[in-house]
Amino acid sequence: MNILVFNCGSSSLTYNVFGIAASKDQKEIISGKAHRVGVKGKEPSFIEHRFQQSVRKDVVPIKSHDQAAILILRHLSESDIGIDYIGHRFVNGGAYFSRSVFIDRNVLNKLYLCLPLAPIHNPVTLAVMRECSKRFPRIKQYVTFDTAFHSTIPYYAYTYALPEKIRKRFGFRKYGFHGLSYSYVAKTVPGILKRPPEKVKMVACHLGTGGSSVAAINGGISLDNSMGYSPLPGLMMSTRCGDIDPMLAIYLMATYGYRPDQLMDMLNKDSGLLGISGFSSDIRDIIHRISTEEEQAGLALEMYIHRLKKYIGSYITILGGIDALVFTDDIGLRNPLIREKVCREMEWCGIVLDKRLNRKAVGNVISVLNAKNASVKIVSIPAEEELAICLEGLKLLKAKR
Amino acid sequence: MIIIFEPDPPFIRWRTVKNGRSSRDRIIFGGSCFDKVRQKIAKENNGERILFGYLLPNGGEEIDKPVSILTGRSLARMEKCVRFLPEHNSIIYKMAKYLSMEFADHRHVLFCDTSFFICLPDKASTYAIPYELSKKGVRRYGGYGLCHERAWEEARRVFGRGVQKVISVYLGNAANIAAIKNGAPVETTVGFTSVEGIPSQTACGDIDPTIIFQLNAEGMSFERINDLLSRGSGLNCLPDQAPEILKYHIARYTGAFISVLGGIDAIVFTADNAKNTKTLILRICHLLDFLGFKSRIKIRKTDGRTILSKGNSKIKGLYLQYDKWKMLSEKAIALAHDKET
Repeated sequence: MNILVFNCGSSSLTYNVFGIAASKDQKEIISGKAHRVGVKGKEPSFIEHRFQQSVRKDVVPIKSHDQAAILILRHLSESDIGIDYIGHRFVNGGAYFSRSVFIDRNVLNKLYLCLPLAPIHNPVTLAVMRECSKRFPRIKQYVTFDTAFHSTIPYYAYTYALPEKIRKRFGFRKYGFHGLSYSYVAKTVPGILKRPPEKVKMVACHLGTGGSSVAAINGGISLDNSMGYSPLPGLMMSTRCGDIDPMLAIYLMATYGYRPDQLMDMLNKDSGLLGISGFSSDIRDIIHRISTEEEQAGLALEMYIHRLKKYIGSYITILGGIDALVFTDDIGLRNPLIREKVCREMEWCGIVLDKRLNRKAVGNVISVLNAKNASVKIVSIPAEEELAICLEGLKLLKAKR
Repeated sequence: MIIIFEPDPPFIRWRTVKNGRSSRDRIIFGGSCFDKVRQKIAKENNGERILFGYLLPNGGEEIDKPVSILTGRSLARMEKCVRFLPEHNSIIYKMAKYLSMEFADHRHVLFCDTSFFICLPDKASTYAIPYELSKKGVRRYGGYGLCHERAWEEARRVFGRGVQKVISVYLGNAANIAAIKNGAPVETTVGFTSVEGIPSQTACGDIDPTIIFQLNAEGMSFERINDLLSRGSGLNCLPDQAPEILKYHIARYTGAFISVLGGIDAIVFTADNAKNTKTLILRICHLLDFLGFKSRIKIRKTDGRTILSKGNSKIKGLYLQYDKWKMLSEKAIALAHDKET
């Protein structure tokens, strides 16, 4: 039995096919990722396919996620890889979903209602699902939710100070995101520290090419996450504004005559690193241009680091100190400069980076990066969201039987 | 006689200090209020020279001094920054303009609560929205600058020059925090407006902006949303949970600011009311135990100041009793005196 997993990032589409043997062990058959999907920037978009130790890279314009899905599905049939189930990550299931489900018409209708809860992700995921059912109408699809891991966030962290009537009616509260990634980190890091999971306090930074967040995790349980009701607030992201004064939205409409949908689009798609730098939504492009004459490239990077440091300090304090600081996903893994800047002047809480280890760390394995005598372990760890989505599918299948 | 005005929409409030006795008054701001205020002042005054003060909540990029003599030029600048906080700023601007003409022979002083933050670093003051908007003045201005500046000065006076990284927590109707390094601001919880940050009694504080668009999509007008977020929300909506939520917001911002300061030497709490805030202050101090804060068991009191930390505590703690009006009067007298000698 083969499970195809699709994972829509805001500017990427990752896929994995896992072969499930009778022993219930899952083995990766093929995987890949479409990069810079719909990104404005200098460098072109491309797809990588990894199959039996070989990597094939196709540089091809990819304007949307459903287009990326078509390219991937085509590649799978050309490679003669059969599919039995397709699993998807859905960013925000709001109050409609608290766990993974198989997709039917009723579920689709509810997913449709969730679109405004994650205006960048939810619509593109739904488009990929549609593309899959168009091509393979008989293959069963299921969906997992990124909000589930954060269901343990306490009321004082998730409650917005709004009237109860309004909170209840619309389900306004912090949900938190990147849950699949954090649940993998929460399970894996205690082993690296050689400590029992219930005794590990950590701050984890999921820094993606599109969206990013920070989580406070105590004994494997999420206590807070920098995202909110939607994935818009928190850190500065590639095109999302992160935290802003809520009154700004109203002021900008009243003063500059934006329509609500224009402004919503601006905060989600034209802000963040792209909005400040003016030339790219990709932190790697921005880092390349810092030494040149681009003044705003420097500001964009400084803001990115400043906001990350704020959330890290915030969560260290509510945890009363930490045992581990964790970096994961593409930017967290592959940007030694970002880790170096974030860890600067953090001795106050025991964070000291070993700069040599940090520069030497490679992106595809777990690395420990702290100075020898530092009390906080600094760990960079590859994100395994796709594996987590596959395991959710197996759980669903087992429950069905 | 000293009279200090402050906007409190829909009112304008003022405090009069005369022969060491102080009294307060307020009136609904509107067309007829100017004449009434003038008459009240004329009735109170027996020919002595009056010292007027006006507290401007948001001075944008225009007013760069926390306390200054009101001049024609500063009035013109005040007018320019009305747009940053229209309801509040327009009230105080119009009153300052009227009274400085009616009482032209008297002295007039301008206070500005954002001036302290005018040199906030770009990385802290800029919103991650298209940069053109920042250039148009859409940025974080901070607030309660007069209070935070005083907290810094007092921390240095009490604990000495070794204190360089200070977190100043104001606990009033609208709690807010500032991070200060060597006298200069590094961060603030107050943004473009004072709605951002820690929830106040009636304003929502940090919320996901997506909520605003969803409320609008469900038929709520932006005027109503504006009202809801600034006057119909906040801790008043959360009667049972308010203490925990307030504490949590203060704790998470304190941690965030320690992080951008690269450590902390002292934390200063300023409050109007010691009785209501004592438990909260002790709980916040306790959160810093892991960084070496040692609370004093017996609190030592000296003239409006209370030292909260033990002598050997790595982090120093200070409580300041806040009387805004008294502080403003003192600053006004000092400035007027300087200018005349």
